[in-house]
Amino acid sequence: MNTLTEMPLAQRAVKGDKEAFALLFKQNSDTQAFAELYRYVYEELYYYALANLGNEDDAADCVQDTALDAFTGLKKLRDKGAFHGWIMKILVTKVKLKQKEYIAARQTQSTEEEDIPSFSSGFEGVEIMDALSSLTDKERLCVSLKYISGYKGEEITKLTGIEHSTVRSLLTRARQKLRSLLSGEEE
Amino acid sequence: MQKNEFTDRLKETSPVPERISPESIEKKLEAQKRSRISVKRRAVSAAAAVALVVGGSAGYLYKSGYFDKEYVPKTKSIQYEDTASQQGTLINSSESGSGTNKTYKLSGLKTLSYDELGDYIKKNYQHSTYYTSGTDDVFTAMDGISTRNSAITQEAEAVSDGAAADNSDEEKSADYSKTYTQEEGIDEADIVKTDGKSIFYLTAGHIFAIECDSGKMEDHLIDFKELFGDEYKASGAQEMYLDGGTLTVILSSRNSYNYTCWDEDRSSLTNLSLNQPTTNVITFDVSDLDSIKPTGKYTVQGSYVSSRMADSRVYLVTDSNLTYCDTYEKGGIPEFAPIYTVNGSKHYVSSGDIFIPEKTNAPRGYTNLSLIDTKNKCLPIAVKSFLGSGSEIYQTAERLILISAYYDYEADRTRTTLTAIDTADGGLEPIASTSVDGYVKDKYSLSYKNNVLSVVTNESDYDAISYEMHYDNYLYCFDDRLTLLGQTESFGKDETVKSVTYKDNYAYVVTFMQTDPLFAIDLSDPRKPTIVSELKMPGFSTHMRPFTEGRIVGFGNTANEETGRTTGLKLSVYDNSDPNNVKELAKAELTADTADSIDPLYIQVYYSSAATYDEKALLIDPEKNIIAFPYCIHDYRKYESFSDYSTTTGYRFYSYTDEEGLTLKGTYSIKNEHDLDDNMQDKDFIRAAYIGDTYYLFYYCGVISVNAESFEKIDELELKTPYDDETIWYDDEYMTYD
Repeated sequence: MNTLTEMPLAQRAVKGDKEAFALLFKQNSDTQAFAELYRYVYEELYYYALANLGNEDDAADCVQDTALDAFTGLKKLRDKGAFHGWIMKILVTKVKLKQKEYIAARQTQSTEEEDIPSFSSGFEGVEIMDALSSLTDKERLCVSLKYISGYKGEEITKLTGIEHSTVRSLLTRARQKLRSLLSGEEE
Repeated sequence: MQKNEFTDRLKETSPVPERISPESIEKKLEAQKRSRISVKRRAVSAAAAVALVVGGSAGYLYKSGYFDKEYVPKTKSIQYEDTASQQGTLINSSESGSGTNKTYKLSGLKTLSYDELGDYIKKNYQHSTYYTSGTDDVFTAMDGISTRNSAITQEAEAVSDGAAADNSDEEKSADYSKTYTQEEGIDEADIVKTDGKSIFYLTAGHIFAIECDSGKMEDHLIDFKELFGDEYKASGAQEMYLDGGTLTVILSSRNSYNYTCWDEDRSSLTNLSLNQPTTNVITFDVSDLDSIKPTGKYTVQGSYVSSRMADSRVYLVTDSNLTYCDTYEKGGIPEFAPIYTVNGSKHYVSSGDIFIPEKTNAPRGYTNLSLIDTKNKCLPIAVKSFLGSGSEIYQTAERLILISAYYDYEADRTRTTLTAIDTADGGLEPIASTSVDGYVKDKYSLSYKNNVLSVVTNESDYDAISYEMHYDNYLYCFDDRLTLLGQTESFGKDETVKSVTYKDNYAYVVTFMQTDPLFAIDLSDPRKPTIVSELKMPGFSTHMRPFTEGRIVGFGNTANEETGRTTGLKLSVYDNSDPNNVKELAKAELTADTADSIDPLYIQVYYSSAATYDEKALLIDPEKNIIAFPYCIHDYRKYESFSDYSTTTGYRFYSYTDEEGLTLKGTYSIKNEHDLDDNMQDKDFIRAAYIGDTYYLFYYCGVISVNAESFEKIDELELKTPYDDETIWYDDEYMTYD
């Protein structure tokens, strides 16, 4: 990669350019450098959390906690080219923990986690949120990783631990439910 | 983020909230770095969980550990002048003062019974419901966490064991460095602590005890897994105190708390378990490094804000969430009160120990103040809570001031609440609370002396028409009950406060936008604090402190006078013997020199230092005449066919005399070469200490000992633990980052 291109340092760093990553942290204080990296991912983080939780404040809380954790743990990041996947993984975990709290809040007889609705939506009447509430947690997880973050099947497996074949069927089911919203999307 | 119809629709539902914008996050990270607040977590409380009806128990229940007792103001035999201006809101007026005694009337603070407190919370938090699933009554306010002394001591075990006797050895080896403290006699926690024989270092989530002998070092890991199993994880350790043979560790964790709340139909009570940030204080007997033993522990709700130590007692400040379940009337347990744990049993802070500041907007949590006896199993001597989240504290031998910024929606500006607590008698007696416009940078902006509290603030005003931010800076003086006495005019217009120090009757403030005026403010008449001089210089100090008589040392950055961009590091010595005429006597600068013989296409060379944001990285000892700071030179050059990248990290040691100015005594540095694919960690120095004639320089997971005369390396320890390959980040999930 030609390091004299127009693309800003932080953007290159987020995309996996280790050289740019190292340079970014040398040029700025660590909080400034982190904020620059964060600038290129924060929208994605927020909308991923929102799509999975259905609650703006909880989504913002998860993103904030993720940012703070990621900053604190930056030294543990061995592969500097993996920033994007790494911070997404922290967020995925935090969102999952929040969903567990939602589940605990609702009385349930069922043991099948997939059947438990845990989406909390204050967005009644908003089409996309209504549609998302009709999905299970796992379907929402796969759909948002694919359509918000652009991850492919194997990458979703790496991030979530869900087997590749399961990811495929979850996506298929979800796409059927979200048919009208995802018209025009390719595999 | 991908661009497609799905994301377009999502974006339409909601804009990204301001509080998670990159600017807001950067601010929070800065604040976290400064005060080492561990990550604030949030908890959502919900309506119902697995059904488990909890029987209610009404009224006082000594065994359950809470007291709905009235606040009884302490009597004190010091007379206060000027009582006419006190607006005491004394709800519980059980004054037992005789004619010669005055009781503490609360000013700007009040306490309520549990019933009243429950109603107060319900009324003021209605708008901050985060999660309503059926019932509107259950919510947790987010953002930011008394039993009577006799009750605690009754549960306490009688004798303190494990308290270290004074070592007579300590007299001999008093020649070692100590953590820099803002106020004399009030110790501050840090990641490096020494008693002249051993050094304790908290790094990479572990605590090491290092035996030192003229530079030769041997390390022992304080193995939390062995000592505590899963109860306490070393990775939560924040900072430490060392006092005689006792090491006190402040450790963050997340613990489970049970709440009783209504089920969805509001017909019966159920049990709800929530994880909340928690802070623990653990003491160890470290008199024998081969057998380090825990000697006490204390747990309280909330994330760690700050602490101090005086007379072997820790003043611990945490910031906890407030969870309101509206079940007090039915269940008899004040779920909304903060919780602390002693000897495994849970206590709710008693209502007489929960204070509500009058001047703050609906606060969304508690600031909890615990006074812990480290020589007696970490038993709490007092626990008091204040509605509102604290971000910092300032403490002297007589006063502890809680600082808490909040946004005043009506006035549309940031304000800061200051709450004063009397600590003079070794207790915690809240006295008063007030608020001031603007924002207080950190603890160095305050000074309490001769019963006057001085506070430097920065106010910002955003002009939406010109898109410009305007700043004003002020110094306020309050009396010891926080009644405003006087203030300065605005100074440093459109600049922000970079550093503050106080000496004798003067405050010295550095503000900066492109140049650095150093203001001296005369505080001898607190009703009229007056600016008496202004010294303009390029660059700015991020930290200042008095050095020797009439001399102040400042460390910070050099900057380009036109743009304000930082260009390097600077050490200065000022003459404040005549505050009306402050002069810069000497300076040492490190700025980039980018000349190179081969004509490069691209060079970047610059200096940075951990000391610009962490003043404990400085080693300044006026008696030994040492002024030292860590630095890092970044050197990145890209040529046509190859690139070259290296850093040099180290510590520079200076001394100052009037005759010779600042002299460089020596440097210890390391050149870190690496190609750009190498993930080798640079040895970035963050602390320096000395024992006798040896300097110890600390970097992430390691320490180097250096001879103080020759600056030659004596020994180096790379600190490793048997747990280094574990990359567990969260409790439930095993994550690797590859």
